[in-house]
Amino acid sequence: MLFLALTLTLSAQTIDPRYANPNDWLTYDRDNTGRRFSPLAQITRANVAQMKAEWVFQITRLPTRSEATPLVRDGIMYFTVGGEEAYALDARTGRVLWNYLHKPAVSTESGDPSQPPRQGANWNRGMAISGTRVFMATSDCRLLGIDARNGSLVWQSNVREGLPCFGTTGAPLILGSRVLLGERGGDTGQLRGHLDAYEVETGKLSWRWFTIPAPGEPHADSWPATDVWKVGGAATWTSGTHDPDLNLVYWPTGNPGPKDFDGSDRKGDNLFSNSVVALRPASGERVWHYQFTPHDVWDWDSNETPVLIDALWQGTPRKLLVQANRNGYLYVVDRTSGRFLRATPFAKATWAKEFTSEGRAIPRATAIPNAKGARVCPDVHGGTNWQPPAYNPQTGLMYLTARDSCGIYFPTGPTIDLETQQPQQYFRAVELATGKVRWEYAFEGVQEVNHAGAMTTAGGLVFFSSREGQFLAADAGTGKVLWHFNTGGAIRAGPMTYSVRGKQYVAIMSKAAVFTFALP
Amino acid sequence: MRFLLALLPAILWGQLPSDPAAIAKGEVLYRNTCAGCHGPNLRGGEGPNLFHSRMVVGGPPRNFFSLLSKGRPNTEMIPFRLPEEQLWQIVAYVYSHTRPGLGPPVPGDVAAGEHVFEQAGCRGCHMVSGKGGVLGPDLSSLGLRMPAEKIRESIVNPSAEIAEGYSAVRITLRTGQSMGGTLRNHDNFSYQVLRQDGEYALIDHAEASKIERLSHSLMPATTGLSPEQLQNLVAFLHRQRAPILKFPVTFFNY
Ligand code: HEC
Ligand code: HEC
Repeated sequence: MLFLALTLTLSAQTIDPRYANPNDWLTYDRDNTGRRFSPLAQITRANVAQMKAEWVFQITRLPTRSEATPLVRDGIMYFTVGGEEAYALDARTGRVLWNYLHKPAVSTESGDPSQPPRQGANWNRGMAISGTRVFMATSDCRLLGIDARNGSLVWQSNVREGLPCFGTTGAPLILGSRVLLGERGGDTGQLRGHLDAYEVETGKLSWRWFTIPAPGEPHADSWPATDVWKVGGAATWTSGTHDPDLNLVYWPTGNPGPKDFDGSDRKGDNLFSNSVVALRPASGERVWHYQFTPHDVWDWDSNETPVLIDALWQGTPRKLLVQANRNGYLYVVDRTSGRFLRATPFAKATWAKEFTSEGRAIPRATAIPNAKGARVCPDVHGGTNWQPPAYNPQTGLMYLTARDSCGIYFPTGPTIDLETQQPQQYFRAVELATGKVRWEYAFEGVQEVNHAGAMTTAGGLVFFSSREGQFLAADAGTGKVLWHFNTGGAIRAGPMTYSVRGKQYVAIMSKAAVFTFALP
Repeated sequence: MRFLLALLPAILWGQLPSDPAAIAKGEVLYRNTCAGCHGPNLRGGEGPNLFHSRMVVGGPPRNFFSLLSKGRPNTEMIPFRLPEEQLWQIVAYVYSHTRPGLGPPVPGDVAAGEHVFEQAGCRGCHMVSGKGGVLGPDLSSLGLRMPAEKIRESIVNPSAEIAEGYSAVRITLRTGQSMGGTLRNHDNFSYQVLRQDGEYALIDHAEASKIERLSHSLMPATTGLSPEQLQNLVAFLHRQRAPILKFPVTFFNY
């Protein structure tokens, strides 16, 4: 019954017409909704067991790690390698069309002579595409506009002009004539977070929205009357989503600083840290915000995807924003107003005593880091993290890589609490209607943090990975594993799917390679 | 201080390859130290082809220098304990082959040369500084990649030597449809052709009934320029020295 009701609302989902072509995958999360749901249905529950590796592309310059989701448009695949390199491949064969090697403007000795000098984080989540251009962020905080046909640099903009750079790692997001990008470095104690919009055509900065209000601006009183707001963090290092009908872009923000686990010098809620904000795409004007973890002292960045779902909510069609937060709760918010609707744990979470009806989490007093060590779940890696989740409107399930683990938090930093609970990681399917875990798949083997993302299709499938590089396909409804492939290297990226000339492919980056699969 | 001194030649690297004395010394050192593995012509032997090394062709000179002094762990590419000056001479010698451009700037009126570049329609097929067409190679780094005489020859006689990855093809499909462009990549199974309209044709062998590899360039020979216009055009192109950030697709990955 519920299943049917959700299916009926499928056609009402707000998808930007830009993303109407079912064969393509044009943003980090495929389209504007962040659902990582592809309408492709050639590969199904019935035949996925026959899926075979189609081609592999090996990257020679080993990136720190591969976190990118490739894009595919009209049979051409585009992806980044670390924050320094871009590739275009023939998506049917894996043959290279062009590559581009960024030369970081700021040289720091990397120690490895085979690597170019660089500054900031050298991992990267991929590109954005618009017309004859692709866009990528770099390790030295540049946003690059690259010609999609020959890989020539058209323009570059310095996202941190005159400011310290800690790298830019998110996949940019196209909104009309603008390309949006955040920064990273929220844990450095040197950053005041911001989200930027640049002109697609020229790379000129169109607007910048700071995640922390300056004195006198609304909500500045959520910080003490000191200079701490200038280095309060709240970074914007992942990608947002947008609703073309409401004309809002949704962007998630990271944890506050300057000290992650000691909030004594930043009393207050520390807005807009650990929030999702709704902004006007043309101006960056803030329309509403919702804060997941007020005054965070556990480093629970809220940079997880704000997934836009149109579904029946308690009998009424509603425009929802759903986020599986690092703090262990799945949040449902009305994305028109920002009104809180529900929070339910999807991983072991002990930090919150209750939620007020306005959706304000009240933490337990014992959860606050102290000199003796506060035992709190989840651990610092979170119940989940930035790894992208997926939502399938046909099952009404949200899929995510989850971690049940607890930490001992000191004001100086946390550790994993191995006495209370051995870390155990899962791939979980959470029912949107109830917030209950419908099925789960427990990962055996190492419990190092699994940062592998999810993807789901109209073929009734969900794809996910183990930390150790097993790439799996399961029945999206039941969780029964139907296919798996050992990629032989750590997977820290989300899968994607595309179709060229009537043939559906599934792709994922693993360690230093791109793998693709298809039916024989 | 030592660090600064070590950096000094790097800062002056633009002059290194054109210093004939250093290059001559570097040649002797290369022959004695490197040629056994990388070949007397730099085209590889036991060690890789240096013309296909992105570090050598495009990277900052300091990376190359640092590879020579530190080596690459666990490979035959061991560190070379030579005086820094001699290592720089080797770099200069290798660059004189792999980055044959540089050299003193060609005399001529650069602004007038840029005007010729626009008027003669060069930008329709070539990008410089992010603007232009995509059928021919990006010329933003041409001054590093090519000596002046070669630039001149590329203009007046484009078919004399075809840029890697830009050879012309004409493909006829079994459907009867036919198309032309530059062959950006290919192997025994597929062709990746960049068509004249800037779109890619990605074709399987089995789909093609005829594949003609043309020996001439898709660039028309430039005629009708006065010697002065040609000189100015070469002077303009010779000054295009943006860092080399793009490599033929055959580089390094295979
Ligand atoms: C004993 C053989 C040997 C000698 C002598 C040697 N090399 Fe190498 N060189 C290698 C090998 C093998 C590699 C590839 C290492 C690897 O596997 O990454 C290499 C790598 C390189 C590279 C990096 C190529 C790339 O982009 O990965 C450069 C540049 C280079 N050598 C230059 C030189 C120069 C200049 C000399 C002389 C000073 C020299 N080599 C001497 C064997 C040698
Ligand atoms: C119809 C398109 C077209 C036009 C117009 C054109 N070119 Fe080219 N050009 C090409 C192609 C294709 C190549 C690559 C094949 C080759 O090497 O000849 C090329 C190659 C070159 C090269 C060698 C580049 C390299 O990396 O090896 C130079 C230099 C060059 N062109 C300069 C010019 C100049 C100057 C003009 C204007 C007078 C011009 N071209 C006009 C298509 C064009």
